[in-house]
Parts: sequence; structure tokens; C-alpha cells
Amino acid sequence: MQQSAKERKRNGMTSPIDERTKQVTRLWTHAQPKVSAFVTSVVRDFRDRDDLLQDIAVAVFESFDSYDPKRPFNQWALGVARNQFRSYLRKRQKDLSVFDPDTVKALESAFAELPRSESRELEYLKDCLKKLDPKGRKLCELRYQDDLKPAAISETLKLPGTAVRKALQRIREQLRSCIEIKAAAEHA
Amino acid sequence: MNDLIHAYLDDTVSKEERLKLASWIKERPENAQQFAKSVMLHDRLQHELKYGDSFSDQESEYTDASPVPLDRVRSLQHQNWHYQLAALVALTLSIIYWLAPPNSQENRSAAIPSTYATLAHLNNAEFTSTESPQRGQRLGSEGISLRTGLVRLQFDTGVEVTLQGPARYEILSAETTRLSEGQLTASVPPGAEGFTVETPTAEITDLGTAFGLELDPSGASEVSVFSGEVTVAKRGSDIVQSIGEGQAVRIGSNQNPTPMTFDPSPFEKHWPISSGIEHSSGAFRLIPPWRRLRFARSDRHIFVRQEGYIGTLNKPLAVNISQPGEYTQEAQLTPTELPTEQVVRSLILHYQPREPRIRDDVQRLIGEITFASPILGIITQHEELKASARRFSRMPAGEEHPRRELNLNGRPVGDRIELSQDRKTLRLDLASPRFSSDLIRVILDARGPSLELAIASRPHEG
Repeated sequence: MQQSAKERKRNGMTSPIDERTKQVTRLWTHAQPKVSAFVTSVVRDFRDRDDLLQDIAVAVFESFDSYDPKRPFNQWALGVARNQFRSYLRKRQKDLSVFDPDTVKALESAFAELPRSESRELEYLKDCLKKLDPKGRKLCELRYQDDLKPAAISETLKLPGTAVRKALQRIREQLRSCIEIKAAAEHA
Repeated sequence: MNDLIHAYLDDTVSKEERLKLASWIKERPENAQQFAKSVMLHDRLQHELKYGDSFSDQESEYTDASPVPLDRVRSLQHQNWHYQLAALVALTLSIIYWLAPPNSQENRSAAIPSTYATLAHLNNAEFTSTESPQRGQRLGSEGISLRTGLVRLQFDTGVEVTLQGPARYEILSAETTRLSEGQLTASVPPGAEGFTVETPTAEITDLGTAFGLELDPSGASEVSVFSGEVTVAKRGSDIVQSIGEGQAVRIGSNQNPTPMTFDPSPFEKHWPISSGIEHSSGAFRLIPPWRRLRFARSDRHIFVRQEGYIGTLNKPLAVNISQPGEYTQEAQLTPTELPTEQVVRSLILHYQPREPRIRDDVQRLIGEITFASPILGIITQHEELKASARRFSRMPAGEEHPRRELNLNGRPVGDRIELSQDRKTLRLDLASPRFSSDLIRVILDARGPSLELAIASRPHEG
């Protein structure tokens, strides 16, 4: 006779569903940054990415049984993301895609092949953000927290659009450099 | 391509640029990986700032600020309210800071600089305002209305702007300025890229080095790039166009940039003042900073050119002459080492005849040059010239040749150099026998009375 979930818990056992959920959650947690970045690279803005990422997460959980554990999970999850992206485009009948299918495919491969260290090193981002000057923080907040594009930031701050674009580029380059220095120091 | 990737991340690329980016991504897997890495950071930044708690330790700085607009709070209510509140208060403060009129700046915190530049040099300058700005005066967010003459502004970021009257110019921040009338040249050192000049028709952003800008009476902007690269955008447009060295464009009212013939001659009067020179006479001829000096030849002229940008010495610099006086023999030299942390500007004086002279007679080349600031030291001898080569500019001046030094032998075929008592004037009397060529490096004190805060982050490395 099959045990109920309560009984299994009382007996120190966990249900097969719980184990599966734990496993997919753990794998998805590791894969999610790459999948998220992949989606960001092929849609127009973060709002579209968030919508699509929810669909992808559901699809990953639902179709986890088809995942072959011998394959890298990242690669499989990115494949799921690509399929969801296509289906999302069809459903919305909206020009969300910024690249042609071949470019999307090239990016999927690129994200799959990015070394794991790339995600790990981004953990330093939090510390590096704290080193930004007030102006850099303000621009980051407007761009990433309020999701404003340079034209809107330029209007808000009464600054030339070119200066905003260049400043955002400099901030990202500064953060990248900070991350690399911290990663190198860690490995030294 | 790096610029294009960043433009893509901020959704400011044109359709053509996006196609170009797509082709590049597909071209090689390494390209796709480079793009993927950039997006990883961009994506993580958004996660961190929207859903993380970065910057939250700055909350306390903003607790006394003005209230946050309610509609902004509602639109963000699904997020961490505590962090959002602090961020919005910070945003409100920032906007108040940017928009506040200049006379309210005195009340701001000492941590926020209220001045951005120093009026470093005036040359026959007359202003239209009743109170004329003085040399050494610090400048904040304010306008300069120049009737005639030239002025040089030294920004704390290292940017130098020279205005030629009649001109109307306004400093909006350390990085953003506005030209409403007249012409200017700007020199932007490494680390200060992004310096922007707005005009009635365009936004010009320097990505490093130098450009000239002239407005015609209709307000159309003509941009000439002397070296490096600038981006130009029609006012209010997100589509930018890159303009490279030796190129020029014109931007009329509500028009996209159109190419025009590159002609730096309208800016000729700028070079002396932008190089820190008051006046010169005799054999001296100034050449613009971006021109290669090494191959410049003349039988009658001593060329003068600034090297690189103003910067701070990060190790001592050996010079041969450190004291006022007349020098005709090596034994008279007054060598010393200029200490670190000294803020300096370097100029090269260069004489090289067109062809080796056939006759044995000795002609003399005489000239006098006066600088806006004192000379700290002069490098006249091969060893020190070679040791200081490429320290101020990546372009060599020919320091590797042992003969390219002053010939201080006290004889009729020797050279003579004199530094005035006030240290601002240099008199040079060069002999030009066969095969003669000379090179002198002049190190000026670039820290004016109010420039202590400036420049410190840009070292001249050894």
C-alpha cells in the first residue's frame, strides 16, 4: 500500500515528487542566470524578459522528465528557453525579437559554452556596485531599477542623451574591471 | 564593436547597427561569447538593482530628504519598499541637484562639489557681463559671455576648453557644457571621455583627445575632429554618429550630420592658449598638439608643441635646468629632480633643418617664448631627454638620437639658453652648423592657485 506524504515524512522519508522538485530547483537556480541573460540578449527590454522567464521556468519544471541527466542542464534549459521564445513570439504576434533565428541560435550556443566561472564571478558585482560614486549609482538606479532608457534618463536629469549613454557604458566597464580584479585576487 | 554592444544594451541602436551586430555575432563563436558576457553583466545588474539590496547601505544619507511622489511609490509597490523609498529619495535629491539654480549651490553638502573648472588663462579677453571673471577664478554651473579674445578653462576632470570670442558658453556640470554662440576647442584626456558640448542643433561627446566646434549665425554646428573620436547626435535624437580624426560634419537645425571638408584653420588662434603659451617671437612656431613633430623640418623655425595632457608626476623627473639664468656651458647646468605629485604640462621645442647644410658657416636661430605659468625645469641633454621620452605623450620626438641635445660648449658654434627671473620666459639662441638638430623639453607648473583639487588621478608614468 502506498504511503501518504505525511506518513513518509513521519518515517523520515521524502516523496519522489519532493526529490524531483528539489533537484530541478537546484539545477534551475544554477542555470537561471545564463537563461535570463540569454533571454535578455534577444528581447527588447526587461519587462519582456520577465514575462518570458516565467514561462520558461514553468516549462523547465513541467518538462524536467525529458531531461537527460547525462547532458549539461544549462544546455537543455537554454534549449527550452529557445522553444519558449519562439512560442512566445507566435502567441504575442509581436515583434519582440531583435535578431534573426541564426543569430539567436549562435547566442544560445555562446551562453551554453560560457564557463561557469562567468556566473560565479558576477557574485562580486554587489561589492563593486558599492564602489560607484553617487552619480554612477543614480544612473544605475534609473537605468536598471526604474528600467528607463537613456532618452528618458536624459529627460529626467536634463542631461544630453550622449552623455547618459557614454556614462552608462563607462559604469558597466568600470564594474567589469572591478569584478575581474576581485576574481583575480581571489585566485591569486 | 564594444560601443555598439553597449548601445544595444541600452536599446539605442539603429536597425542598420543591429544588423551589423548580428553579422558580427554570427561571424565567430568568440564574438558571440564576448556579446554574451556583456549581456550577463547587464542582466545581473538589473536583477541586483531591482530585486537585490545593493546601495541599501546608503539609505541613511537620504533620510531627511523631501517626500517621494506618491505615484512613483505606487508603481513600485510590489518591490522592497524600504530600498525603493531610499532610492527614490536619492533620485529626488539628485534631480534637485541637477536642476537647482546656481545660487542655491552654496547650501549643498561639502561632499558635492559646486565648482567644476578654473579660468586658467585669458588672452585679450573682454566679457559682456559687468563683472569680468578673473584668472584663477573657480567656475560652477554658470555662463561665460565673451565679447572678444580667448580664454582657457581647466576642468577638474582634466578637460581643457578654449573659447574664442564672441562666444556664449555655459557649464552645466563637470561633464556637460553648452555652446550657444562662437567657437571652442576641447581637449579630453584619458579618463574624462564622455565630455559633452550641447549646441542648439547637436550634442557632441568626446571619446578622447581633441575636437573643434564652431557655430554659424544660424546656429548650425560644425564639428572638426583633430584627433581621436567624437560622437555627434542631432539634438533630442538617440541616433549617434561617430566622427574620426581628420573628419568634419555640419549639423543644421533638425538635420542629421552631413560631412564637410576638414579645415582646422579657423581654430589656429587657439593653439597657443590651449598649450599654456602667453606669446612668442623670433624663430618659434607653434604647431597643434596632434601633429607629428618628429618629421617636422624647417631651416628657420623652432617648432613648439604640447606633449599629451596636464597630469601629475608619479615618479621624480630629472631636469637639467632648474634655476633662472643664462646657460652656455654644461658646467653651468642646475640639474635637479622634480618631485612626485607635481602637476605639470610638458612642451617640446624642436629644431631640425630640412637638409644637412653644405656650407660650414654657422647661422643662428633666436626666439623668445613666454608661458602662462612658471617653468619648473628644462631638459636639454640626451640622457634626460631619452629618460623622459614617451612619459608625456605616446608620440616620440626623436629623443633616441644622441646628437639631438643642446650643444653647450661656450664656443661660437654652441647654443645658449636663458630662463628669466620670473621663470616664465625662455630665450633660445641656437647655432645651426652642419647636421645640427636640437630638442628641448620644457616642464611647466600646471597647478594654478585654485587647481589643487584638479587632475590628481591622471599620472604621468615613468
